[in-house]
Amino acid sequence: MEQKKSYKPLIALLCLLVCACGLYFFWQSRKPAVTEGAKAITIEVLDNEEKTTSYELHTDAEYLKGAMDELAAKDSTFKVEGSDGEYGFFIEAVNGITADFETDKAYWAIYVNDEYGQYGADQQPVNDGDVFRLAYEISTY
Amino acid sequence: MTDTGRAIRRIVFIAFLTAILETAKFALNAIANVELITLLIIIFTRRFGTRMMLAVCLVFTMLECMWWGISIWTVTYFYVWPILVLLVYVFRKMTAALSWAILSGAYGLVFGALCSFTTLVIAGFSAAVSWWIAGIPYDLVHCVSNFIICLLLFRPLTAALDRMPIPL
Repeated sequence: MEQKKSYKPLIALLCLLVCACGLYFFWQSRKPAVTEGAKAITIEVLDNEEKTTSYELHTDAEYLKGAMDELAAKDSTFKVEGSDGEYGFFIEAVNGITADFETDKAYWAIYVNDEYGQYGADQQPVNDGDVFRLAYEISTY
Repeated sequence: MTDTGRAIRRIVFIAFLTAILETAKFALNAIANVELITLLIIIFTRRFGTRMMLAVCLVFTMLECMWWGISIWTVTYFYVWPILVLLVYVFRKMTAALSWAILSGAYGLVFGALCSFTTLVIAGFSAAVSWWIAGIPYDLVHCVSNFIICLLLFRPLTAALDRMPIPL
């Protein structure tokens, strides 16, 4: 007797594909716009002693990570260290000051135009006139 | 076998399955969003049952908390893996590797959304949505890797497990 073929897995696979594509396009549409060309930006470092150091930079970098790398190459007083993690580039040390979450619950936060950044340094777009602040913070959780 | 003997056997088996999950987790830690935990939980739940696997998930999560400390993502483990166990229970009659691969892929796709519930409680709705949206590319990788891993390994691992005795 011929067995009846079930199309349910194929329909489910199609649904999964549609959902995955839909999510991708949704993510693309929600990605902040990136400005091309020369951009004048400011990168401030608020360290663990609440001292602020400010850097001005003209850059073509699309994302903050690229801009920080450019700044580090131009200005020896600015230095960023970090690692690529599950959610992108994770800042571990700025200007030699390491934020150790394991021991001090400390981390380097990114503020964009005085608002808490929603993206990692390698996903944060750079636009003309942006002011980025890298702030040493202690978690309250 | 006495009740005590059976209980001891269950505890040892829970430890054994947890050790396999931990080993698999550490083995692929370096590759972001590529993991064997989803597949192992699926095949273990099908073979050893929901109750056993809920206990395994609890011990696994507590070990993760001891190792990595209590953070947002370790807390999410307290509910994301039990949800998978319950999903496997709901779909327990499925037999085709393709069907389980689809479930595994779909689970990878919604993993970020599930994890964002912790952010929702701690930081509010807009933070949770931002967090989820920023993680969509990682969810897509998780979806594809889960699908491929399950499609390739579901049959051989299920066949191997079928030769293993159930501890009760």
